Amino acid sequence: MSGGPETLADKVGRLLTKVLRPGFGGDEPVIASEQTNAAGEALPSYGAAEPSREPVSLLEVDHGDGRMSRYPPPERWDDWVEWDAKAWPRKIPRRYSLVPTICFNCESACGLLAYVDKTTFEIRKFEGNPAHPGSRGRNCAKGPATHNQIYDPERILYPLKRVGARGEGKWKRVSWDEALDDIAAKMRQSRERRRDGIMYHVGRPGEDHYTNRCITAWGVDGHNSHTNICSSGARVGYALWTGCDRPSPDHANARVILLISSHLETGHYFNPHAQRIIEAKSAGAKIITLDPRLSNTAARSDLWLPSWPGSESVILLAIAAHLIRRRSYDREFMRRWVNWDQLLREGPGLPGMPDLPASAAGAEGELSFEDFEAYLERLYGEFTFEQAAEASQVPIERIEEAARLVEGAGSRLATHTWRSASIGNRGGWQVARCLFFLNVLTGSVGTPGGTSMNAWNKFVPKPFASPPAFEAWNELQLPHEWPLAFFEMSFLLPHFLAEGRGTVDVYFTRVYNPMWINPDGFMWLEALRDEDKLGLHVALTPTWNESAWFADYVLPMGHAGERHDLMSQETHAGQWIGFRQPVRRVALERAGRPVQFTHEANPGKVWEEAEFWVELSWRMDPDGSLGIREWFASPADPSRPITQDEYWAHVFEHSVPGLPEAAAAEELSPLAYMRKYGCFEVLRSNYTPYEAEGFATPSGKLELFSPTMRDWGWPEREHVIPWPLDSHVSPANIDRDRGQMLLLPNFRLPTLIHTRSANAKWLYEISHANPVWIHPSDAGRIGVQSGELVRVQTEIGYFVDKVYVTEGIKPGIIAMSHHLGRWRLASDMGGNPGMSALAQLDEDGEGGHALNILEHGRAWDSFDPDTARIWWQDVGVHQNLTHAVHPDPISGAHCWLQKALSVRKAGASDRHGDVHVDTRKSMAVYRQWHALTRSAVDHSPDGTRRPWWLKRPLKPTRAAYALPEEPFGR
Amino acid sequence: MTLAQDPSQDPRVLALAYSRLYAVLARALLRGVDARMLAQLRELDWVGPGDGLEQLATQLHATFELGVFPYAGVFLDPDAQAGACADRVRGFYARAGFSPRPVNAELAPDHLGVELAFMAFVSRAHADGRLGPSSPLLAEFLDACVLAYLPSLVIAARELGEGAWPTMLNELLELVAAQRATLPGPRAAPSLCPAQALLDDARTGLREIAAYLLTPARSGVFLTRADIAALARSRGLARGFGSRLTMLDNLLRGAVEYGELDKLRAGLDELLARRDHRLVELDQRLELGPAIEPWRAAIARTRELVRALHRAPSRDRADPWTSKPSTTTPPAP
Ligand code: SF4
Repeated sequence: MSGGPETLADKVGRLLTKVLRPGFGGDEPVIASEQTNAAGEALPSYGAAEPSREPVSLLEVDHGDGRMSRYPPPERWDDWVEWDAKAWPRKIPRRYSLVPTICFNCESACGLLAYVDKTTFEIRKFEGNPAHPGSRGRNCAKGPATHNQIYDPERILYPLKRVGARGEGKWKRVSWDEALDDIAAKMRQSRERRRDGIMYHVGRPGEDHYTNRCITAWGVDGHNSHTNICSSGARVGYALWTGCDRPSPDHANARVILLISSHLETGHYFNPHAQRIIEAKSAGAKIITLDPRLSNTAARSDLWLPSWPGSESVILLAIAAHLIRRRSYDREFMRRWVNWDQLLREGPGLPGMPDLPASAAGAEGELSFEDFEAYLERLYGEFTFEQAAEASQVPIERIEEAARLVEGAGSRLATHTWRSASIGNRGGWQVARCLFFLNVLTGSVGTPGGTSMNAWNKFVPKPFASPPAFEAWNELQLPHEWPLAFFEMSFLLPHFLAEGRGTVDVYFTRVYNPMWINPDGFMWLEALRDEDKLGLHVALTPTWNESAWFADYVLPMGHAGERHDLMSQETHAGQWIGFRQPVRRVALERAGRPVQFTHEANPGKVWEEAEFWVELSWRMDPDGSLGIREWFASPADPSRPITQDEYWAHVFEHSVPGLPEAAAAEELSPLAYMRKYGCFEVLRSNYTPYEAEGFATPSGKLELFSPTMRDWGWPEREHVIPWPLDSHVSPANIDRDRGQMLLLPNFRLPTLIHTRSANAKWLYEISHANPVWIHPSDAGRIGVQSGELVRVQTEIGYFVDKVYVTEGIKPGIIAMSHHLGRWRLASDMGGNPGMSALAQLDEDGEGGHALNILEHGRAWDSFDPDTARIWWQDVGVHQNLTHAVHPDPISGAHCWLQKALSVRKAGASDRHGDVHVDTRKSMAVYRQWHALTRSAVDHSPDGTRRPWWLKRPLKPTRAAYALPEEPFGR
Repeated sequence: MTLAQDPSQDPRVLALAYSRLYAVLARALLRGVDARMLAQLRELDWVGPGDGLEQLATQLHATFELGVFPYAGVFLDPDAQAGACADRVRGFYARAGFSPRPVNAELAPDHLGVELAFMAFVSRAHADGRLGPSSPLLAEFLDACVLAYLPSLVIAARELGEGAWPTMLNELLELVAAQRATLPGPRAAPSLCPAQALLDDARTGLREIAAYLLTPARSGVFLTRADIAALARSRGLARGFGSRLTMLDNLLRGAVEYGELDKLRAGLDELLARRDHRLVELDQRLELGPAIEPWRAAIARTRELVRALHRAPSRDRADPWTSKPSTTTPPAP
């Protein structure tokens, strides 16, 4: 080429030459013309309606209650046209098939409505399902963010099998057939040898019976849950009173709402409860909140009681004593429904229990309700506002005001505690018991505006054909030392394995990340790597997580719109069921394109568990000789496995009262009705069902006095009746003069959900860091300002994090949110670079473990331009690794609150995110807590392991309840 | 020697190269730029080292969603409607068996991105031999649906300022011109709107004049918000907020009310003259002849109109300046 200016021909020629270079690429068509499946590989695209199709108007209905008033009318859901909001100001009509499903992010089971594009079958968005009785068309931020999870650039699209050593991070893609055959063969081998070798460890089930039925059919004691790091404290408190283990407050109709912790914005049943709490507040209800942290709930409450953790019971009993002294409780309710006569007959004489008043027992030796009233006053007379104010460090006027409000609530007192004080403190189960005592005193049990129990407001239909109970007891799940635990001692699995209590042949982690979420994660690391103790580890998960990295198989399972499940929750005083559906599959089937397995419709080869379990169980017992296969056979053709349509058609036809009739009224089958609406309201309201059925306790009454506690080795006053127990982090146990503090590590953020939400870009943009909240007085003492680093020393190690100096936390307490601090071990795999930190693990071979952050969060390039827009680096610190295990000796709950032995300004060598732990100390702390237990071997009244009446997620035969012949450690 | 200069080069290979280039631009316009595409754009020198994904995404939005609207209909239709040339382009698409799945909001079939996808598709068909070298399809399409408005679009975008997208549009125009030169058949000129005696119509008010100016097929130019804002700023006049029509209407009304119409007319004339000059430059460089002439004629008529605005108030009308009753007095002749 000459030195003159480039001619047009030269220039064009140069360009043409460049694009012809091999490797330039780009020969695929720019615009496809039909169905696509872009998730995980590209951004979705959408079709447009023909120009003539004008959008349909929204329905406008004034329901007069909290339901949504404007939404697409259900009769148009099959073919809904609306303007594309993103195209504004141009008017682009889009055609959608609206398919209802159920959110899979938290436990609330809110209804979602997927807008599935009718051309590409890509999901445009998720909105609320207006037909859903629990969520009533609304969602929290996490519901719509399901879209992020589905189109996450880092999602796992294919079954992966480990190659190389566990944790080495080498994987190969395998087919579902290969994975199924291999896993099924190992399950069969295990089942032929024993009944406790297969373990299904579930995070949030997100469904109500399906998998439990499968495990039962396998004939093994294999269900292991996350309950003991979540709600077991509260469950024990409620179960001892009522036999049911969850409260169901009727917030919407309450006069007073008493919440322990930040329940309005982050509690159990986030969105369904939040909307009803606000509905009540708008109608004049008063909200009282106990929380050491100024949460959004506390800020919106009429009365905030910033109590020292563990003192809640004292406040609650001071209020109870106020009602008792003034006889302002509901006498008739108490007389009818409390086991007061049992208390009077069997309570006095137990350790710490006062004698009956001299006036008790009339001429015939009959004990009267009046005797009970006098005894009650004697029992609780010592609780005063002054004492409560001192123990809780809350101004006395606030406690007096709370008592006045509770007293004025009548039978409309809605109360709730779930994961905060009840799971934070040793003896936290008594917090729930003391709280519910106020419901019992005010007669607000199962009343409009009062507090019901979950079993009354949750509807679980009978499964299709129920296999018989298994005769097995897995000692790794419910060992003899915790006969009253609710439920499996799941967070101690690595400690049990380390002690040599047993082994697991096939270990499923299902949407569960035990190494990250449990306390003492390095103990999990040691367990997960030990192939002798944990045989085959199969991680069923939609996304990468820290534990899956150490699995043998990583099997991609679907998000909310990619799976079948049936769910119900006690969101209010009614009953409903919600049907989670694979929305692309349903939309394809609506369009006349049949799908055999859900993974054909889902992205890549992402499957759903419901079909997976059927196929797996079928292959586990190919000839039916184990008696398993029969439970998975099609009712129409027993030679093949049952389909999802067959399964759910049976359930909806036979086990849901009213559904067949409602469906018939629309000329639909019950299954078609559920596919159309995604939910069904079984009962509009269900108040005071105990009038007909009594309570599910041994006495059929509300058990103020618990004979069960007495009979199983806990006869003292502080165990048999509602009573405060000394928390491991009570002021007496935290030596503030020596710089010790209380670490409150488990408050939630409304926009995240544990490790499930780390692939949701919208959510992470809102919240991505978990700094240490610290009061200005403590910050001043330590010499730190917001943004500076502190080193927090726990019982087993330390972590380094930034501080957030705020008056929103009590002096003496530091607080951290619970969900953040995700990490991965490979730069390009194992998690999103914008949501997790690249980390390095080191160990000294003697129990010393270190996690060091090599790179915090960062932007990265993918097909989604948003990943290049990540503007934050701090993705939080994984504090749980440094938490010692604290198994409550009764409930089995991990008592989350930690003693921070020191909190000091970070040193020159400390780096943000550093974690160090010595697992020898882990075992020492475990043994200290273990020593507090009272084993069934020593205390069982009848030679069994556990009271028969207490719940278990899966109940074995009665024979399996016999105490073990060779209990571990004896 | 480069490929285009090499007479021995197989026309099918050339067609493949065009197909790829059009596909790159189509993807960029329709989907935005991702990392892979950024590498391709850099290799082609269409973006500079400072142009990251973020800048390209914001500029894409600013250029084509707030600035100019890359639809044939916006430039060629008497109502300046996006999608108005849908039937025209669909006719070509159908002839080639191209059935674009409408991908996103921009996908009225006459969106430049879809047209580019079609051009990639047809060029590919030439490369594969599915279309023979004598097929007139691509040439006719380029004349009727691309070259018919692309020069005007390129000029309007360029006036939005320097940036990767105006640069890429310019590169595209060069490519299309070069490819058209290799294709058979005489060049066809676009047909824009016929001349209109707007000021002779008693119903004409300022709003009608603003609408005329905002219709490229009549005025010969695409006026962006930035153009209107610049006119207002340089004359110290308000233009308000809202649609371009509202802004231009405000600007004209303000000019009349405050006696600044002469200055505004001068500004408009300057703009029209500049656009005309740019067309001439393009023609000289790319030999676009028939594609340019109707646009220059339209601009010439619009300059006439702007000049005539000066005379208009002297005519015997109740209120020539607004279609609504006015309380203001028109400026003296
Ligand atoms: S409250 Fe829970 S179930 Fe409801 S939308 Fe939010 S995350 Fe989903």
